[in-house]
Amino acid sequence: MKALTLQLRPEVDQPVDISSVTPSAVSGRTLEQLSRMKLPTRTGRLTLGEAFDISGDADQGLVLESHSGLLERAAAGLTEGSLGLRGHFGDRVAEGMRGGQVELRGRCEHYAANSMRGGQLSIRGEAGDWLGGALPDAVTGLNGGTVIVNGRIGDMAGYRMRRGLVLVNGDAGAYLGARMVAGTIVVTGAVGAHAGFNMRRGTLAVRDDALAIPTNFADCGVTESVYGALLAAQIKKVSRRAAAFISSAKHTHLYRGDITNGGLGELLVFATS
Amino acid sequence: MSTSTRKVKKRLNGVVIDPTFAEAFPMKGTRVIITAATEEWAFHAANAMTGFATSVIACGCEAGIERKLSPRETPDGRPGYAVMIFAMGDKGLAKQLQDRIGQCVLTSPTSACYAGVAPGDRPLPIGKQLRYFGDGYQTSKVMDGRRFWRIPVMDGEFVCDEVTWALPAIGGGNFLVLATHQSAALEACERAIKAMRKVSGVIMPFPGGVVRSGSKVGSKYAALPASTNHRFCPTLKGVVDNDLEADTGSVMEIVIDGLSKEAISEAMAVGIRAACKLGRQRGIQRISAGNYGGNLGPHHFHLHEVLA
Repeated sequence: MKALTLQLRPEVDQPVDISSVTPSAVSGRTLEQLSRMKLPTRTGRLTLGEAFDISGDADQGLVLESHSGLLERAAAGLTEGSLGLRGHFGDRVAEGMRGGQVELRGRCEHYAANSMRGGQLSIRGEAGDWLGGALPDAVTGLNGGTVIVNGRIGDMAGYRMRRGLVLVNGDAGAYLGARMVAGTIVVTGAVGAHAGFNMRRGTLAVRDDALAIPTNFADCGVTESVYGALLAAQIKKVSRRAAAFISSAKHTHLYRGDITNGGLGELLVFATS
Repeated sequence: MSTSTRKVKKRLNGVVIDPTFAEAFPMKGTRVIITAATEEWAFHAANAMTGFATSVIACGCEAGIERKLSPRETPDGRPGYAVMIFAMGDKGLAKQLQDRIGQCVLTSPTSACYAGVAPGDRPLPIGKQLRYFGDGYQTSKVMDGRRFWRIPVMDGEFVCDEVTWALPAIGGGNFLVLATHQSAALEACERAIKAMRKVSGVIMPFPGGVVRSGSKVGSKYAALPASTNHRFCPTLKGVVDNDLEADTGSVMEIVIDGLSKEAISEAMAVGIRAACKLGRQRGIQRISAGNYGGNLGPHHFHLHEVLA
């Protein structure tokens, strides 16, 4: 028997808040009971049975499938268990997640992992803007846990991030780590303009040919980074590619900034040649 | 010290194993992992940190290198050493740990220092205190629920765990090697120490792991807490009651501190067997142990049971 699979029906034409559908919420329920679960939409509510084709067994896991980007807040607030996401998801995936594991094979829109506090989100595909970034009415963005993206991410990733680890095996857009408070973002691909804008503390780890060094970062020279070795050893457990990127570097160049905001943040630039 | 007597005799390679026991005491202990750019420099830091730490009588703690670690066994993937340190209480242990890491590890080129035990309920500060050396320029990183401190120093950066943890421990496991002459006792102890260094969870805190001046509690001088164990001094054989054979020329002791009774028992067994390999024909007469009648220390290591 396969995992409980909820396939969004093509006739659903408005965003649906899917946050209440979690492994613990569906466990022990019959298909009939699941069908009657109510989901908020922009204009009212839909039942699970109206929005999804439902099949499988919850004891074997939970998978959500969507190809329209209309499912919002998937895995929001998740505290335990595993959740599989397949296809194209909307905004705020894993918002406020506190534990458990989410694997998205596909892509998601904006504000994924905002206010996430624990657990692990893996995205095998692209993420939109504001990955781990603070919502407009929030003080901080990502605040714990691990986010791994094997694909491109948009602009403003890590905006006002407070804690946690983001690993991007792909390119990142502009304003990476803007106003970052703490935490670590590793990007193995290219990085857009204005990385570390107004950053307070925290670490951006990038490739030497990935970006133009921002002018508001002070050159602290080449360093033997023990922290880099520690970071590589720790992240090897979740992303061998990101770990290899750091541990195979010829040397590490350290820049501190944003100097307009105390200069305690760091840009670790790993030389590839 | 006294040796209790039981009727059962045991021999290993002709060497008599006394029917007696080692009496050991509760302590508090911890382990830290020291890494550096090379094995040599990790050793310098570990060696300095564990210097002048043979006995709590006057050193404040007992400490030693437990074993060398390969890069795969350390948090940062660099060569390292596991170091253990023991004291009579949490407070004394915390102070000794702070002082030794601060003066001997933080100062050592390319070093880093990490907790070497699983989280417990009695934290011992490492970076939590040492971070202030960074004078406000220090930063911290939380990874996998552990907080690490990064302190800017002249050679680059000193990285350490925020805390390690105090664990219940045992100090004073021991055995004595009685031999016809000094070089035999020494060679037997060297073999014992070489074998014991492969046992995890123990250290032998004395120089080279061996004590030449085993002590007894008390002294004729009121100010001294301990004095020479005269019953095992071969040069006093003719004039005091003693526990030696007529041709015993030298006695050496190996003291063991460890995180568990099992680890100490294993170390004693491994060490005694290695010491006895020289055999009676090469001068090793007996293996004995030191105790206080069994009424002071709650941990007793009976030699015959340890070797069973």
